[in-house]
Amino acid sequence: MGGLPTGTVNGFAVDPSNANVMYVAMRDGIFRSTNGGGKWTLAASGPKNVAAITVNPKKPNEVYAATMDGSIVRSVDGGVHWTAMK
Amino acid sequence: MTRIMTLIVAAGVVVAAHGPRVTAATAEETQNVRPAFEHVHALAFDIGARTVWLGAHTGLFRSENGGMSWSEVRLPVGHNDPDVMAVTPHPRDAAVLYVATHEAGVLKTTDGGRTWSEVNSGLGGLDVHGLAIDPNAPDKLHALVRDKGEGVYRTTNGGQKWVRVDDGPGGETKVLTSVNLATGMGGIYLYAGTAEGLQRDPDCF
Repeated sequence: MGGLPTGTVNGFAVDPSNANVMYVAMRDGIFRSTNGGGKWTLAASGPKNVAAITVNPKKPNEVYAATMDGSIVRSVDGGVHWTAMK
Repeated sequence: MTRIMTLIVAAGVVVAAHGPRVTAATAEETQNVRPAFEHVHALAFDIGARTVWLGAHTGLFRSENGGMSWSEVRLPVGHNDPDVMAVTPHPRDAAVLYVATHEAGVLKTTDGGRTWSEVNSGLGGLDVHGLAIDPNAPDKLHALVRDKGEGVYRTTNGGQKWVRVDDGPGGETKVLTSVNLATGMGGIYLYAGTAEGLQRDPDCF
């Protein structure tokens, strides 16, 4: 259960096709686990102050997140890279 | 989960930023091409991946084009813009969606958001901060109620009747999700995002 910083977990999402793949939204950013929460990795290119997150059930590598100020960001590679929605 | 949820991460505090408020709508839905929400609490795809739902302090919003533009969805409660704390789509039926609110309990639609009904029978309070649906048995949901009547409530009939089953995780709960990972005890796990980190507990209490 390592890799998550101390702090509030604002958002949480699970890949519907593989429940071991999950995402956490925190002030420090977006974190991804591939083993049910045993180990977490920060998405280095993702935003900070993240409020909510969700996985596209038809395309599990497509992940959306919302920041606390209402900006929407999207990843199409399972949370590795993120771009802001214009 | 009665104060015994496995603590995955320790405590901390986040101060939410304040964004611009969406202009109040006079029609049932208002186009808002540039998203501008205040205190986003929830984001969720429907199972068909056609609609992205967003819950915020300023209400419920939907996007049909992958988040490029948004419409506000008016909820039939005694508040102009209820504070939407959780958005919980049905895992098999895209027309069914549950919404948890800060002041009006749980609302349910079975027609994709056109009509809504309050499904609060049995809840000890109407300040609902988390709402999880079982991916294997979608009529089974857990709701996290704060303040009056606080605790975790369970329904096994799609919200027609709730029963209090647990005190809930320690720390303020931000999100509650049923995760299809077997506990080995006949159930699956409930994960809770809280002010004290990520916690999980078997849902068989």
